Amino acid sequence: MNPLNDLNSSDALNPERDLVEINRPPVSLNPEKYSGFFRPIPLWLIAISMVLFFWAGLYLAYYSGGFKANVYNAELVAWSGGGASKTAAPIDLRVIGKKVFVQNCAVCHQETGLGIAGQYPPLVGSEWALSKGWHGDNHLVKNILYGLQGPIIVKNMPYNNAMAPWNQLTDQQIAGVLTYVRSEWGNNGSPISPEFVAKIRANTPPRTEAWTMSELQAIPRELFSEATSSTTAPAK
Amino acid sequence: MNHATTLSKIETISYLSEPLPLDSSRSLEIDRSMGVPILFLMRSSFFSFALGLFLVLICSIKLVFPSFLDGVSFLTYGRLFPVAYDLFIYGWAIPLGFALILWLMARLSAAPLSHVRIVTAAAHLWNSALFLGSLAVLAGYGTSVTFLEYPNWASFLLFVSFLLMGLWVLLLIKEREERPLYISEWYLLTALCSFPWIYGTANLMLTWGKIQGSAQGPIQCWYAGSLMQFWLIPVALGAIYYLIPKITGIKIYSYYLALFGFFSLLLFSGWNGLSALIGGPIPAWMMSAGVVTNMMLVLPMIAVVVNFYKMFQESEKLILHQSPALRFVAAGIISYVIATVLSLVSSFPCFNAILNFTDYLSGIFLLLFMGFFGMTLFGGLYYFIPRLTGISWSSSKLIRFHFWLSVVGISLMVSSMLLGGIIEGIALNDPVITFTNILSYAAPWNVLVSLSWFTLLLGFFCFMRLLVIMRWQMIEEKLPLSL
Repeated sequence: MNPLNDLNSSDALNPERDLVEINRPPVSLNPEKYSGFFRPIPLWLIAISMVLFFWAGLYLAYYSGGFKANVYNAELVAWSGGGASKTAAPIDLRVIGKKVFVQNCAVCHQETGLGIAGQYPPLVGSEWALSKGWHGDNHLVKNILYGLQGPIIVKNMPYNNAMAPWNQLTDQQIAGVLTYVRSEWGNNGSPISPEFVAKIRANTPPRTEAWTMSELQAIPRELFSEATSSTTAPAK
Repeated sequence: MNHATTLSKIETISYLSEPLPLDSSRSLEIDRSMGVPILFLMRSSFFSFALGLFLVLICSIKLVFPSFLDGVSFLTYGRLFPVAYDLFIYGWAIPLGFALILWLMARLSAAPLSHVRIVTAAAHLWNSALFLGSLAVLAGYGTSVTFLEYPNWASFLLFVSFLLMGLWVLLLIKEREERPLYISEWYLLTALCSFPWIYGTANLMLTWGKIQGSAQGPIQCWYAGSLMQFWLIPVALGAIYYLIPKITGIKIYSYYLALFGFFSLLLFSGWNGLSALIGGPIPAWMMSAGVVTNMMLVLPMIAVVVNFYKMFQESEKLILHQSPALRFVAAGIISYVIATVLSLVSSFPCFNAILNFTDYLSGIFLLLFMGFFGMTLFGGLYYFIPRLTGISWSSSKLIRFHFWLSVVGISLMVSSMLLGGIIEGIALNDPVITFTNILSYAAPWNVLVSLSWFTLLLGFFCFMRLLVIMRWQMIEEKLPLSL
């Protein structure tokens, strides 16, 4: 006998008759031999299966959209399959904005929005970001689209640096990052919508030079809340 | 209890089953009828497995050092990776599983295989299609559908040659001398009949002909899930239902439990792959069906594991310690339990939102593929090969090395893929973290994965070494078969 090969003496020449034999139904008169072979499925397993089947039925009822081929999000349909019970959640501009800000803006303006004294102006409480004084929401969008250069004044401090144009960002990304900047770090400006960004983008002739402060100052101030109040209610 | 009485007890147990022996000339006839195609299939599957391990090792090194072997078109990740996985599946899992089916079916039916030459020829056809198909994928003619990369002519040849091989096994079952179908045969017959069905359907709709775009995703996921549920799992379970009673001499714990496990597996298989598309553009009921069946597949797992566990409990502990086959099988069963639970967790929408598209899902696939199917089949090989060739294994040390290197390799690989996948998933859901940063979080885990592929390759070399020694002995003794 060589235990390494599982060569038991009985099956050196193999036949599977023994295997079939020990598992054969009890035709023999020897009840001991088959005791237990036909023992029933354990009760706890039946209990588990019943609980699982019940759960499966509930899950399919609630989340299968009535087994309709044109329902893609079961949470938007009642379990009977008729009529919407919820509407799709609106896109949160601040989430998009945070991502855009961290990837593009935080290098200069810092993740805290405080900038670097003497080099990069802060966004926290900045009259540029919050459209106070002569600044308008239209200036802010134009600023992002084509950049800014030359001497400027932010919170009574002079800065002289250049900001890159971000014209390649989509309307939604620009609206997102502006909404984020205007509502983060204690700022309490109103949100900016992608439609407003699209409007300003369309009204601004393409340019290769970045804006200067005096150029922007010459453009009349425009606010997003004023622009939309006549047509639709402002976004939340 | 001293050692001598334990040993004598084992001998008594082996007689307990009261064999009705076939006379030896009859059993030799059965064995000889299958020897040539089985050894050919095994030999080529070992070659594919070694090649697949080598290629996937290169791929995982590329994930760590992207410039490694850069600039050679057929060595790029996008071509090597599918070829490696196709070699694992169509070069190793299917031929090796088929060899096992052939052997067990002939043994359990107590009938010789007819038309052996056609089976052998079909096996050659299969290998040529595999070889040419892999070359075509390397040359850039792959279809880019996961697991179905081979060009149309190659996949068609694979399909036809499987039919040519499988047909004679069905004939053998029809003409069997043992009328009752043993539990192993239920599972093996399922695998044998399912493969042409799933492979043919998936190819018909995705590569030979193309169904409309929106339906292609669900069909691919159905195929990937079915490959596991209709081939890997039934073949491995069929092998275990044979090996445990045969080696320990303990009869199946409960026949009804086995019935329950078999039919619940049949009922819920195939649907579960759909949960990979949660949140995707498919009807909601498909995703829910995927979630529900992933949960329900716990039932067949519990049923078979209870059956196996009770048999292990009743058997002599010494057999468990000495038998290499049972040690591999036990590792396989543990992998099956863990993989079922993990894939259940990842199918729930709340966890899926984090885990989808990460290494977590590849980790589960590899746990089932290498851990359950691979370990179980190696256990089977340690049992079958000496009976087929008539020569014993030469070294228990190499077997132990193979076992422990495989266990360490698989656990290291799966755990680093799971942990890395969870970290990746959480990072992907955080808008602040950039994609480059997410890749850098995954980098250390990729190093561990390469290391574990290397460990698996080492373990497999131990097995190859054993086979080479056996081959020398066969040549010395001038046996008719060649390994």
